[in-house]
Amino acid sequence: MKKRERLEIIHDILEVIQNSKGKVKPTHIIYKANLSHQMLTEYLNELISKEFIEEKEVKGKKTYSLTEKGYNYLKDYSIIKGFADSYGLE
Amino acid sequence: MPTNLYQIDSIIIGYDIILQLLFAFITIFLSWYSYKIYKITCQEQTKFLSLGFFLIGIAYTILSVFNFLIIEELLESISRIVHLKEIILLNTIGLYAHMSLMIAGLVALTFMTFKTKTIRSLILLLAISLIAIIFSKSPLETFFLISSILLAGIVYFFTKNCIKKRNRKTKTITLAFLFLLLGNLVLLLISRSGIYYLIYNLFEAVAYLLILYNLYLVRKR
Repeated sequence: MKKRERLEIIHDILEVIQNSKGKVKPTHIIYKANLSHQMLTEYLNELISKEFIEEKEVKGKKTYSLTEKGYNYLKDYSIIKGFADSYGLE
Repeated sequence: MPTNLYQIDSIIIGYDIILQLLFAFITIFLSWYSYKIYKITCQEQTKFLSLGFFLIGIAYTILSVFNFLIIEELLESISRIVHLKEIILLNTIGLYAHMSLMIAGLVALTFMTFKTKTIRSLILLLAISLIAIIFSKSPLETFFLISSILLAGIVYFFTKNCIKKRNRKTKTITLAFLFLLLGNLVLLLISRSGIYYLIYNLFEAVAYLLILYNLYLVRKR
């Protein structure tokens, strides 16, 4: 199986959050985006720090939703992917 | 008598100024586009791609403007007999500004290929390149030598990327930078006069057209 690249993994995570009507639990992302717990934690921290997603705590449980930046990433993903592929960006 | 910053007695003087302006426009546009992608992805590598193209764009603008000024001064000096000091001064300022910015741009692109966040290697590479040019007895030759080495490194990176992801987009970028390298090698190893300067300009034009074609492929959904 082909190894997914960083941009692809970010896309998959954001897509899972978008498809879950904006709010999703970490376990659901692990299952849908096919990631390990450790990988998910690293990616979520990066996505929060870069303001692609927001973390909220509802009744002691963490949920995630997309920010405008996250939506823009998904909208322009095919262009971003093509450009990154061309120049070997990861 | 040499009539441009590269001190070349060229058969296409005048046309090269237009070409250089065109290259400046393309590279600055690419810089802006890369910056837009950077704003969406927050990828460090994309930032250096944008910076590299921006510096190269400014280097071409300087080359074009100073070449234009030199030709103007030369035409004036024919009627006023002696105007040589001003021409030499213009040539020196323009040449060093162009070489420094072009090298800085290529170093930024090379740094992008390292895939590292350690800024020290960027500073070190830039310092070594600039010092070598400034203290060289023949700065222009050293400039072409260093830019060829940097371009060779960039071509190697893009070739590896092209082998990994075999598609038209990666092929166009690899070919584009190969043409830039070949153009540099023509001026460095063969000759910097007449027909070879024309070949150099043609290689550069093909390279930038390929880069534009790549952008078209990227935007085509």
